[in-house]
Amino acid sequence: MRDRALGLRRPTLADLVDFEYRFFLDERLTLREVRERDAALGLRIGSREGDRRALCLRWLDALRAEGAPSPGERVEHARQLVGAILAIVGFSLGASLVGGWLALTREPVNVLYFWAITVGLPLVTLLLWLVAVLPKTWVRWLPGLGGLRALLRAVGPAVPALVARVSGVWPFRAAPRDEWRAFWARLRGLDWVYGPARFWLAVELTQRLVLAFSLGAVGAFVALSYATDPSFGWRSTLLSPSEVHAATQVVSAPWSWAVPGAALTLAEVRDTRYSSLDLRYTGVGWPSDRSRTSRRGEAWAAWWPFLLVSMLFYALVPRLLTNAFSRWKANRFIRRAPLDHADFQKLVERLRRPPVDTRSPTAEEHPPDLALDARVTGPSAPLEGTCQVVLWEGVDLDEPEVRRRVEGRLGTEVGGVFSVGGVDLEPDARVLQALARDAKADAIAVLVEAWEPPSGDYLDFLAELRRHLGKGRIVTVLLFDRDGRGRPAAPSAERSRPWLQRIAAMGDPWLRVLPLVEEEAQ
Amino acid sequence: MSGAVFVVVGHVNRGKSSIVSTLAADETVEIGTMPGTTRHVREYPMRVADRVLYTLVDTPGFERARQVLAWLRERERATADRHRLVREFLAEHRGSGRFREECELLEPILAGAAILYVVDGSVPFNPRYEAEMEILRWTGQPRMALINPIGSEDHIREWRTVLDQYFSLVRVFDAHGAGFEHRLQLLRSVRELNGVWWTDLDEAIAILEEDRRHNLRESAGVIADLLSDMLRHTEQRKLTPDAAPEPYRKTLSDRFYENLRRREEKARDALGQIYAHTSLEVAQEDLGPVSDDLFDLSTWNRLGLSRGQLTAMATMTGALVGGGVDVAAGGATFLLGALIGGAVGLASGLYAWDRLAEARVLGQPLGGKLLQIGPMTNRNFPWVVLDRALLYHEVIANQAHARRGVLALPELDGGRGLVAGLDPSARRNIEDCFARLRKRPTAMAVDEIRRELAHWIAEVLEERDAGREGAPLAP
Repeated sequence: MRDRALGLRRPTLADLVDFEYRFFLDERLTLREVRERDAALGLRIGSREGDRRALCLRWLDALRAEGAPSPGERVEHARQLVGAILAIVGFSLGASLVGGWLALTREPVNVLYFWAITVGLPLVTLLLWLVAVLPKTWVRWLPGLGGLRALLRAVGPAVPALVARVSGVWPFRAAPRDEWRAFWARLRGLDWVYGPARFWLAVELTQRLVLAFSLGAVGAFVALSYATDPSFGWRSTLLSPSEVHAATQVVSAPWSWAVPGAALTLAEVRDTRYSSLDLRYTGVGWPSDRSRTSRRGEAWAAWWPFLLVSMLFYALVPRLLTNAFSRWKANRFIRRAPLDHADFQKLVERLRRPPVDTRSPTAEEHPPDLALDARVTGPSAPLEGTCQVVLWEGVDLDEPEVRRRVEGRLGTEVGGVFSVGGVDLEPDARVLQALARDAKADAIAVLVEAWEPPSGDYLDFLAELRRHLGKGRIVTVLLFDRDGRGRPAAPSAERSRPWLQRIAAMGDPWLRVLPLVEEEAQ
Repeated sequence: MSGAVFVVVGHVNRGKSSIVSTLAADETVEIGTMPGTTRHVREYPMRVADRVLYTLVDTPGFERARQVLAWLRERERATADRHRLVREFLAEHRGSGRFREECELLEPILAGAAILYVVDGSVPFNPRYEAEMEILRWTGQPRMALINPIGSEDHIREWRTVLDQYFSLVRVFDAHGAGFEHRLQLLRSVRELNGVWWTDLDEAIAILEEDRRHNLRESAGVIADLLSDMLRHTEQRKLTPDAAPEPYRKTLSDRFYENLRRREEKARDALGQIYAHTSLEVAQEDLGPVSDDLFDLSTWNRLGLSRGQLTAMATMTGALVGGGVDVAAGGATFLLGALIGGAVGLASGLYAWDRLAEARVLGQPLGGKLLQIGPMTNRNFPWVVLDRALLYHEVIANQAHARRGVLALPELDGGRGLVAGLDPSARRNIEDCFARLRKRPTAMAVDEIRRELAHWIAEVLEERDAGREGAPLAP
């Protein structure tokens, strides 16, 4: 059920940020670490089912469930905070501008200025918005608009940069500052993927500012009209009342049929014209000219509904629409984010590969380092008397050659040659007893195959031999080897080293290891 | 343990761990010349999700086989007693310390595992080994012998004569030289030991093959990333308007080449990790072309495409473009377009053969100058990089995990690298990607080209891998 729900889930801004942040962190891991992690996650989330995007989202959810850092939520909070700040700033600007204008001016408000600021300016920015959001091909043929569009879009990154900066400030920052900066730099490099979402998020924030401005302006306009009696008129040296009336008719054309009270008559326009000379320099006219005041009293208020509907129609409502449209576009891009750039592809590849592991889950115990005791390799005094030779079964030398080589190597006479080391243990036991009985032999030479490792069989025999001989009698293990042509040869260091180490580990001071054939004799 | 279990046993220090390391693709297995390197049983289960399809068990080697056999024979009254006696031996000596190794290795066998008995085919047979074989026979479990030729001498025939008497299956398996296909061949062989395991082992083989394909694709992605980065790489330094660029050129140039080298090294690391070879020592002097200096032009004579191949490709591309003009003109140009295009292509191919990266001084919109080294303009450069990557991949992807130390490169076919022998259509497709990468594409286009390049390289890798189905294991 949960999987199904996750499969239908669409990505959010926080998801996209978290995906990229995870990919950013993964760059520091080895491929093996990433593979192992994703193989384990893939097992949990059912990586072979569902489409690619759903799989990626399940992967992200699983990572979050494991407590992986999720800076996406913080970025989303930072975006909301920036949006809220812009809304407050916009509302304050609109409300203070209109409120101050209406409350503080002692003359009638000149509607030409007032309209230009509260309606005209938002209209201009609306046009700029249109230029910025129109497809490139639409503005290509209009001279100058292409450049203007490019300029506006270049300014756009300032808003996400602001979000980035806010996200980098505690408590929004999810990582050390340098890391966070590097992460944002990486995101900028992925503008070709997330550019549309970034652009529409920026547009949405700017529209929020202007919408809040218009709301503040309209709110102050309505609120102050209850508590004070702002009067509206117009003055112009160049414009005549008929021209101004014609202009108001054009402006109010969209609603004049439905709200006739919000459209002005020519008489009202003419009656509300005033001049700076009216009061200050002639001493006649409004407001001292009582007859004119009473005659035109209603006309001074006739502008109010016109201005209110103008602000609603040309400033507020379009901003509501552009704000909603921008938000819809941003969300649409985010929800439909393809999640298929190279990192996503690699992720899916990792998740979809068979979760196979043939390695051991346990660590291997390291063998102890055996010391090389100099006593087993170092020179020893020449043997005196006779030496009995114990010939291990794999040493394929006939007896005369054994005698010749051992006598040559140890410088002592060879007494007898005994064979041991066959499958059957009986001969070994007999040889041990014979050697124990032979008190004449001063030393024992055990001739072994150097290519065989010194297994327990050899070591046990040597230990038994010592037990039968007692302390003091020298036992020399002679390592016999052959070269590539089959000739007797000195064993390589690789072959003799295990013998030296394991025999040294036996701790027998009268036991030594020598090559049967000395290296220089080859 | 569930699924098939194979216990790898043998005389001490006879390459059991090497075989396990290669079969389990696990480079953490301790392999040493000292007897007793493997002190305890260690399991290598092949896990797929939460299932185990088979388990390899590495064991300490036989240390006192003659004594064990003597103990068993002493108590034998009838042939039917043998399996029971081995159990009794285990019960009596388990934990005693005297026959620690034998107890460790016999335990999983008596629990029902099949036996893979390993001998070293490079040392002579010794009748003493018959004690080990005899003990294993007494267990009554299915068993197979593997002759692992560790050294240079060849005693395989001698061994085979004896092993055939004790084992139903005998195979030669060089743990240090076995590639992926040999691994699978061995798995196919061991499935014959017990019909009950066929399903699991067939599934295991299929999954390993699929995993191999993923590895090849992942490697292709790594190589495509490498090529895409190296072909577009530049180093820049801002200069004041009156600064002379010459003093900075050398430093910037050194940094440019050093960063390219590092990038290649990073890709090699990634390839090593894909195939679980993270600790292989790469000795440069032994690596031949792969370790040659990337910017040593003498290397380029052996790797990459030959001058003739490059020029031919450039000529053909030019002629195709010119031919397009001819077609557009309805043939009124009398193939002049193709001729001119071909000539331009030929000239550019000849001109760009031995050029490396350009150093350029660019003007800056807000004043000042920008000294830029790169991107690499030599047309053979991406082919050399690709060749080096393919050679490296060839080695690493087919390296047995028992092999430690220095990598060995394959012999260059005819003294040239791998790309010179690529199918012409594959070469054209790859060159097309290179050409588009050289044109400073947008980030979106780079992503697209990278995918395309990875696709073509994956085809090359898969084709080469399919052609590597090594010789069957000698029966």
